[in-house]
Amino acid sequence: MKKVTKFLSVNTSIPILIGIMIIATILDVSFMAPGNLFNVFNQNAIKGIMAIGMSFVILNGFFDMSLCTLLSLTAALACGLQPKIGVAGAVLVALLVGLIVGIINGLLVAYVGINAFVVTLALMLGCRGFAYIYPDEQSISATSDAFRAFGTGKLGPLTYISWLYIIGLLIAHYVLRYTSHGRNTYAAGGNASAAENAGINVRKTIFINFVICGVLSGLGGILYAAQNGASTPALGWPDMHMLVIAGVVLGGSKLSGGYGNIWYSLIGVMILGVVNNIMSITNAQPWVSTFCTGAIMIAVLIADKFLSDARAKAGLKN
Amino acid sequence: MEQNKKMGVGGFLKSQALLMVGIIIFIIFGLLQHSFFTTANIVNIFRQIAVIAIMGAGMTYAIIGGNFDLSVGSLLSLCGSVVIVTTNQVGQVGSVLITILVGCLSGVLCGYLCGYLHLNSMVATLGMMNVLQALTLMYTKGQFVSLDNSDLPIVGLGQGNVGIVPISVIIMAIFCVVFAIILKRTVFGHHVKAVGTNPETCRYSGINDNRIVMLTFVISGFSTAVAAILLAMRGAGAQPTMGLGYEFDVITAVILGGADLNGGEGSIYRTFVGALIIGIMKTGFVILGMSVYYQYVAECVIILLAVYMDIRASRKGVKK
Repeated sequence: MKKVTKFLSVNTSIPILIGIMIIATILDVSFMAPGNLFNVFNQNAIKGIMAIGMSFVILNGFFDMSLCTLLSLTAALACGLQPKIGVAGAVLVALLVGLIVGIINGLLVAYVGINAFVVTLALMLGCRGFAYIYPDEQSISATSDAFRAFGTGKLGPLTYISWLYIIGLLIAHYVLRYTSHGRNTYAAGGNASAAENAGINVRKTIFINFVICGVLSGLGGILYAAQNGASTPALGWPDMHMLVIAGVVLGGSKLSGGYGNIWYSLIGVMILGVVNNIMSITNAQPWVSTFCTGAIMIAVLIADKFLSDARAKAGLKN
Repeated sequence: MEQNKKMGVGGFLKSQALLMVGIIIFIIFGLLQHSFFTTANIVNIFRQIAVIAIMGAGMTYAIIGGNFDLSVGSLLSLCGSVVIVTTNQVGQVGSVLITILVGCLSGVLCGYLCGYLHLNSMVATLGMMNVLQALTLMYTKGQFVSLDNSDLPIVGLGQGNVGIVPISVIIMAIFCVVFAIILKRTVFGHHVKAVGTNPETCRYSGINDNRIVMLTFVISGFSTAVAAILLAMRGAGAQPTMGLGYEFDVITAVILGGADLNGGEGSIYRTFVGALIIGIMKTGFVILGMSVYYQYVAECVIILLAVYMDIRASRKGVKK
């Protein structure tokens, strides 16, 4: 029992998620139906996949704002190139674009030394331009049946995309926990100059993390295109990156870097997912849902602050 | 004071470089399209940037204080709707007062969350952005709202001119000058810079850092309310989504102005020049008849170039 209390007081986001789920059940019992719970997971799998990439960057002490329009761009590419070079080619090109944007972000932040907020904001604007220019400001539908089938198909109760998310979580957990790159990420995020002095190549670590985030954001766009069977230029604009960052932070990872893990991003994304889900079950007006998302972001931050203050008082270390 | 003067000279030179970039972009557009050099167009550019420059002046305070305010876009929508609806209901003076009150209240709330509770300003103001957007939708029921009587003097704030100068530009000029003086010449301005640089030290030297941070958010909310009045009056109506994405334009202007995003450094004048560059590009691409989305690509390149040059300049300074 003592172990459980300690676990919960370290992972403060778990009691918060459970609390929100209990409130959701009180509002509508059908929330707890297994089908609906799987539904919540399926609906938020893509956001979760992008949150994996964002976690790497945030644990490193930065964040990536270019995600929101990069995913619109890769979605447009994945749909628009299908008739010309086939599905595999289109997906590869879209992933390549994600990779390139990640590389540009990484180079400018790690090696040129420009503030990450500025770099990724600039790239966000640039990607937004191309996301509209490439498809001529039109929506594009996906022509390939296999592509759409992958986006909507299910294996057991979960969609293919959800399985992809689970695999991604496990790989990310392994990388963060058991590889030198993962340990370097924590070290560089906690104290960059100490890490540098300890012989860690901080710049390379930052660079790799931005590349991971770029590729996974690109993948997120492709998966959205597959799930919806089409792409629109305004897919992620204006706040998808903020929702993903909020997901990671609500889970309990510190935005200043060095503290957190990949499961926090899962919990944070699910907190936002549960709120959205219960709003659509109870047929709330759109503004109620927006309001609750905002209010809950603030409430979770406040709750986390008081819980971690209590944790600090109780003498537990992070 | 000696050091202060030096900082002033350095800052002045930097801002001149930025102004040069603006002038070069302006000349390039002018060579491509001759109608760009007309007085009417120049007036138009200034009218365009009034909103961004006023909001930028407030945002500069928030960023110097070490925080982001992402809620300003939604607050612009909310205040725009409020000023239109209340003008119809309680008249002009009342509506202006109520709108400014709404802006300040939102600032107080953001400031309380970030200043007193020390929440992360990005996520907390993102939450506020959602809340304010929701309030706007609730207040307007998602509909476009317009003035019943568009002959009221208040409409002049958005549409009127004194000579050839639009009234909104005059308001912008007064606003920027007053805010610049407050930042440079008052104790409060210096406290904001000090808190942005190091809140701990400020607390030990007797500055109430929580209150200063809160006031920077109130200033940001106040200036957003003023900008919303001008923007809503320009069209004599307001869309519930009219502020969507404005926060990024405003932050871009502040970044172009070279403010330190970690806090402590920034100037209203340079933010104004940053807003001017955005305004020139926005009008330029429209006049050239190109898709407005090329502007985003151009903005991307210009931000990165400007910041890169800034970094190189400061590195050289260190070497010397």
